[in-house]
This record gives sequence, C-alpha cells and structure tokens, in this order.
Amino acid sequence: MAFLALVFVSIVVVSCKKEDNHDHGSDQEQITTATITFSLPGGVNATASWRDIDGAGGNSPVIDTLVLNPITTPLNYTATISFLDESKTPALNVTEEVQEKSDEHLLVLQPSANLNWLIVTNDKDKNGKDLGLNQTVTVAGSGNGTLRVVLKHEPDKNASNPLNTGETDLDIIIPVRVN
Amino acid sequence: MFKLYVLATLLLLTIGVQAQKCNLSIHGQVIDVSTGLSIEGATVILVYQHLGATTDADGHYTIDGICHDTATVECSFVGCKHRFTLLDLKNSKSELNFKLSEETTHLHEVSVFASKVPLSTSVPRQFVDTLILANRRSVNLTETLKSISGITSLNTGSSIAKPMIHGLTGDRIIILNNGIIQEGNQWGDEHAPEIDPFLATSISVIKGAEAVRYGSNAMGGVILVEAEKLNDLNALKADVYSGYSLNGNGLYGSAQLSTPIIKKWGLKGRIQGTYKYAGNLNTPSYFLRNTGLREYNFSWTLQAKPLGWDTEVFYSQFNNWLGILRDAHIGNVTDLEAAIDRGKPLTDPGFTYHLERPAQHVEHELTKFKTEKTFRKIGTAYFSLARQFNRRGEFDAHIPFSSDREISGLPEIRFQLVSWQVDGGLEHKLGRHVSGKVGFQYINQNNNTNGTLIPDYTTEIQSVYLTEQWRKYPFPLKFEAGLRIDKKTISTFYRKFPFQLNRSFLNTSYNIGTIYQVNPHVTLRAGYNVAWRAPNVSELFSEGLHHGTASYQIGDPNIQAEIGHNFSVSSELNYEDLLSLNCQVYLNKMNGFIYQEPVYPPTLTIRGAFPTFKYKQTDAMLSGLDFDMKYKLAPAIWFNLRGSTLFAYNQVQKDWIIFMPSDRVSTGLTIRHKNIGKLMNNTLTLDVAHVFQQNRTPDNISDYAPPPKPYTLLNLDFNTSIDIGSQQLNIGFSVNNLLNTAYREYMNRFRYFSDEMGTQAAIHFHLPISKKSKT
Repeated sequence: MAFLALVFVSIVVVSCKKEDNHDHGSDQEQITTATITFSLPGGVNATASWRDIDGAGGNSPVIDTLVLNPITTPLNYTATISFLDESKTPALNVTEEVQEKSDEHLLVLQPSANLNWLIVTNDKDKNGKDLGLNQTVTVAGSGNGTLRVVLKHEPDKNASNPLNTGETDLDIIIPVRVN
Repeated sequence: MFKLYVLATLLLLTIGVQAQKCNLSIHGQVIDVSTGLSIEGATVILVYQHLGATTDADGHYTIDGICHDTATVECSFVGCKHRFTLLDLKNSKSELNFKLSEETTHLHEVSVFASKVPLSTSVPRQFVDTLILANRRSVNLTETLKSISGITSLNTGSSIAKPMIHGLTGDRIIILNNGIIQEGNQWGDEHAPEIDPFLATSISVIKGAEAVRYGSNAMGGVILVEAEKLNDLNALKADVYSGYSLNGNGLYGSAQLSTPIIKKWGLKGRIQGTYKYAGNLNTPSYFLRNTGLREYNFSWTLQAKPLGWDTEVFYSQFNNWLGILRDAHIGNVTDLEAAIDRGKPLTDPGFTYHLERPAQHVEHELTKFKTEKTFRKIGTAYFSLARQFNRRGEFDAHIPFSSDREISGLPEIRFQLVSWQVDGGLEHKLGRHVSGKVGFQYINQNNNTNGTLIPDYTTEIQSVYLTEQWRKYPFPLKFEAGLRIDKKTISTFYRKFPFQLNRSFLNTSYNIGTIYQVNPHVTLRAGYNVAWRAPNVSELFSEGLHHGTASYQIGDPNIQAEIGHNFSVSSELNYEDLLSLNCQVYLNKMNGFIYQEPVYPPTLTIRGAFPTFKYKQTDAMLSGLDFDMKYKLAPAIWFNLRGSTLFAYNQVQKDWIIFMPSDRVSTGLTIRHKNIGKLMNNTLTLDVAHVFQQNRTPDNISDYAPPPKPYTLLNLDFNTSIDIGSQQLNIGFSVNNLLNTAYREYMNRFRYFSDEMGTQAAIHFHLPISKKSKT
C-alpha cells in the first residue's frame, strides 16, 4: 500500500495546473449608469439618467425623464453624456475610458421623429472622426418623445449608418418632455 | 457459399504503421462455418514463429509479440481440417478471424472478417477508419468522428466543434479520454472536448445509451479515445507527424516516442506532443476575421508490472487559444438582426495569423493512475484514480473598462473545475457461460466561475454497477443485463447574493439486450438501455447575460432529472471482400427532456434588449436511422454509401425540437492500388456528401434566421506510402469542399454571421521510426 500512497502523492505533485485565486469582489467594470445633460451657456442644466445598478436581470432599470423648458425656440443645447459604474464604491467614472479609446467608440443620439431636433457632433476622436460625447442639439417646438442613446464599440464610422455596425455597449431610450 | 482459399494479403487497415518489430499482434474469432457459432479450444498458431493461442469460450484469441510483418497462420480444431493463411500484417492491431468447417469431401474455406470484435454490446460500436483518422486528426476530435453515420457536430464557428450522437451532445454523452470521463464544463454549447486526437490510436463510438458500464448520463452514447498499450513494446519506436492546411495556412507537428526503460522491471514509457498554429480561415467569398488558433498539447505514459499488477500512470495537457469570429460577438438583438440582414461579416480582413479578442483560452490537464491484475479463478480486478483540471476563459471583444492593467487582461467569464474520479471493479466469469463486471465509481468535482452567469458549485457522484452476459455454446444468442445506481449531489455556493442550495438525485440505470450471431457474416443486436441525467448547474441556476450566446439565460432550480429509455436494433453484415453494411434503428424516449424556451419580452439591459430563454422540461421522443455500406464493385473498387436521419419531437408541445441535425447522406468510391511506381498502398476516396435542409423545426419557437438551404460537398482523400531509406513515409492528401461551395450549416451557431469554410486542402506526413530487429 506504500506503493499506492506514493502514486497518490505523485499525482498531486505532478499535476501542474492549480486553480487561480479569484476574488468575486473585483469583477470588471461595466457601465451601470448613463447620464445625459442638456446645458445652456448660462449654466442651466437638465439631466436624465438611465440606471441599472445591479446589472442585467434583478431589479428593473430606473429611467429618468428628460424635461426641457426652453425659453426661446429654437434653442441650442449642448448635450454631454457620461458613464458611471455605480456597482462599485466609490462609483467609477467610465467616461474617461471611452475618451481614451475614442477611435473605438461612437456615441449616437437618435431622437424620436416627432421631436424634430437638429443634432451636430462637436467632439472628434484621435483620427478626426466623430466621437459624440459632446453634441449640439437644436430644440424647436414642444411635445413628448424619446431620445435613444447608443454607444457603439468598433463601428464602421465611414458607413452610411454606423448604428448597424460594430458592437453595442449602450442602447437606451430616455423619455423626453419639452415644455 | 463462398469459395475462398488462401488469402495472400488481407485487411489493409492501414494506419500506415509499418512493421513495428515484435509489436504486432493479431486477434480474432474462430467460427464453425456450418452453424455460425464460435469454437472454443481451437488453436491458432504462427507456424514459424512459435507463437500461438487457444480460443476462449467465445471463440476469441489473441496473439501478441509478433515479430514479422508476414506470417503463416494455422488454425485447427479437432475434427476440422487445418487451414493455413499467409498473413500480411500492416497493422499492429489486425483482426484475423477463421471459419472452420468439418472435414468432409469438399475444400475448406477460410474467410476473414474485417470486423473488429472487442467488447460485445447490445448497441453497435463503430471505429473511426484509420485513414480517416490520419487525414482528419489535425483538425479536432469531432472532425474524426463525423465519418461515422449518426455522428454530427454542433459548431460555434469553424474551430469549436462538439460531437453529437443521434442529436445528443454536451453532458448527454460521455467522452472517455484513456478510460477517464472527460470533465470540462461540457454543458456549454461552445465548450469543445479538450482532447488531442494525436494521442489516440483508436477512436470509437458506442451509439446507444451504454449507461450501466460507463456512466448514468451516457444518454446518446459514448466516445472512446484510446491510446495503444505499451505491453507489446520491446524496442524504441517513434512516430513523427506533420502537415499543412491551405485554408488558414495552418501548420502542425506532432511526435511520439515509446521505449522500454528498465527491462528488468518491465518499465516502459511514452512521451508525446503536438503543436498547431493557424490563422484566419476563409469562405469562398471572404476571410473570417480572427479565426486563427494556437494549440500545444503533450502527454506521457509510464507502464510497469510490479507484482503482476499491470500499472499505468498517464499525464496529459491540452492548451489552446481559439480566435472567435469577430463579427459573431454582437451586442443585442438589434445588432444580431443587422448582422443577419447584412448577409456577411462587416469586414474582410484578408489573411493574418494575428489573434485578438474575442477569444477562448482553454487549459485541460489529466493525471491518471490505473492498475489491474488477472487472478486465475476470479477474474481481472482493476482500480484507477484520476484528477482533471479544466480552465476556460472567454474573452469578449471589448477589453473591460478599466485603467487597471491587470484587470484588462482578464477574461469576461472564467470557468474552472477540478475533478477527482475513482474507479474500481472486477471483470469476472461465473462458470462457463456467464461473464461480466461489477464495479464502483466516485467523482468529486469542484467548480468556480469568475463572472456572473452561474454560481460556484461542488458535485459528488457515487455509483455502483453490475453487468452480466450469458452465452451457452452452441446456442446462438448472447444475452446481457445490467444495473447501475448513481447518487448525485450538487451544492452551490456563490451567486450575486451569497446563498447555498443543495440538490440531490438518486436514480438507477439498467439495460437488457441480446446479440445474435445469425451466421458468420451477420450479427444482430437489440438492446433496451435506460439512462438518466441530473440537470446541470446552468440549467438549474443560470441567471445572467451569456455573451457567448448573446442571450439572457434563466435557470429553474426545480428541474428534475431527465430519464431516457433507449431502444436500439442494429445489424452488421460482413461478406468479406464483397459487402459490409451496418444499420441501426433507434428510439430514445426522454422524459423530462430539458430545453430552452424563449421568454418575452426580451430582457432590457443598458446594452439594449437581449433574447431571453428559460430552461424548461418536456417529454421528448428522438428516433432515427443510421447506415454505413461498402460494396465491392470490382477488384480494388468499392462503392460507399452512408446516411442518417433523426426525428426529434417535443411530445408536450406537439412540435419538433429546435437545433437538431438534419438528414444527410454521402456516397462515393474508394479505389485501392497496391503499387504505382514508388507509391505503395494507394487509396483514393471520392465522396459526395449531401446535407438536407432541416425542415423539422418548431413553429412556435422562432429562430433569428430560417434553416439554411441544403448543400452538397465534394471531398477527396488520397493516401500513399513511399520508402525513405529503411523507413516508410506515409503521405495523405485531403481536400474538403473541393468545389469551394458556399454554404451554411444549421448546426453551426455562427451561421447567422457568415458562410462556412471554403475549400480546405491539406497534406499530412507520418513517419514511423523503428529500430531494425534481428531476424
């Protein structure tokens, strides 16, 4: 039986591959929260957030309504979008990562047809193509609608419709009310 | 009646292994030609080598340690005339069966069967043809198996292929790697078996629920990957393999060295390794982005016989990086539909060896210890212990959002498991007519997953089984019956919110069957096998987004075990040198069949909506037919015909079951010619394979794209050998999809994104090296 013991020991010794320690706490960053801010030169801000802190499944996402009170019409707003990972404490700012890999990302704002908005992208990526974290939105008239915000990863920025290319990191719909 | 006389060369079962000096063996069966029954106590001897054997109760004999590649074999039995045969052994595992008849006035006939006669079971067992093995093993294990009717493949892209037996795969079949159950999260659709076909000399499939002998969850069947034993090894021997494939610019090399180490102790060893390197594959119209692979495997074996115990220690490692088609990693339903509308991938990157995300990184390690000893009056006792380690990392296309360098190198999901398996038992004979096996098995498995799809868990399985076969000569039927009891426990530990859950299952598997040797040429088998499978952790506890399948999966912790009632009737006709035909009809009634049903609305996440599936149970009936036929049209020309059909029906929903293989048939010719100039042992096979459109799909479960159109592929294989100095080099050419047909296969999960591979042309070299022996 010493022979068997020797064999047993040798199996354990010989087996090279061991488990790696994993820490469930350090799960990778993800976007849990997207916040869109419509601002005016004077400092007036309207914000709306789309939040799903526990990630896919579990609790339903909490979606704000973007409420705009334009004084005049038409009015140019500057729309900025930021991303957070609020599953971590403190919350992590993921916008910087997107900014760093600007050539791999494209943010598209798609208002519902009835809103009749005009959208121009202000910021560019490393290669001079659109990025979309800062856009100018010309709002005219009033009414209710929706704003679809899409963040694409590795899209074809030269395609006629980049939305149909690449992989989607963010695809959310925010209700909009223009007073 | 056949009038055959001394056969000069038979059984060119060419692995292409040249005479390995003193390593040759033959075994077979001796049959009484008038009754078709086996003869016990016949002698088979090699006249000039002083080697011989006597047949056992089943008429079987084995002669090992044959030194020469040609031999004169004599078979004799009291009352039967002696028969001499000149045997040309090109294969170290030749079968040589004899048919003796009583001496009367007419000449005796000696016939030889090409059939293998290993463990006889009531469901058919088929071996992968040795030339197919030579030409396909550099691809992956599943590719070698597809040549057997009834075996198909569930693919994820072109590089990940899981074998399917009669529509069943994953943990509904058992894959044995050197006698140990392969454990590697095989419940996953995109988890291919981590086995290097180069370490095997024999790959076979048992097409039926042989649960009693192998494991309760062998509902579809068992795949056996076996390496040659070193028992007959007396001198150093090596094999070197190398090859190149045009599609993917793939290169591979593999080598194996076996040698006696300490003759006094009977210690022998083998070391083996394989390396593969390939880049982007291409379809007829475009290259597939990121479809390269890297793989390296190695194994070693030590064998000895201390105190009469035939002992083996085996170690193997399998490591690969697989590129996953970039265009297949889409985000959500909208992206998927856009991809399908596009009809082809977004980019054509051309050829490169570069491998990037998304990718899969798989590591598998097996350490096995086994010992067995035959005791005269009792039987053969055996014991084995094995440890397996499996780690699979799935790297999504998106490098994680993190400035922390260490985290950004990590996979999105990492599965890891450690599995211990203990087996023991006794193969015995009870009196003259009954032989069988009694045994136990214990498996302990620990799984942890980094990622949010399934919890960590431990599985424990305890089993005992008993199987007996009865055969009383001269009664032509052999009966078998078996019983197996398994207890399986699953305990989970971590999920999004820590909790612990236990499930326990206790069930029996059993079988009854019969084997009827109608005459020397015809064997009929009929078997009823009951198998069962406990739900796996994914089916019980899934709760999350599975990026690999771009779907949100929901498990059901209350799911019960599946129980399968498998009926099989099969026939094997073997009119040597004229016709061989294997045919099987089967019915698999699966109660509690677990499947995924779509849930509406799709799950809304920050990435958009994802199709959502919930695991459910139903009662299913899977039935089908397989056949393989070879018919000799003319000397050296054989006609081949092979086909399979499967009907998979959901009895509760009264509809077909989704994602089951369609009917297929293939036909062709094999031409053999002994010598063409310097080329020897030439075999040319032309094959036309047609796959029908899968029309048996459910109405109420929608698929994102309809099943692809039917397609026909033309394949060609040519094998030959040439002498290089004192050794013989074996060369194989294989061309798959010779006409560069563009097609899609229903059982490929990536068929939404691209066509299948275009033409694949490959060349394979095999050089067996052996020391010269003294004659």
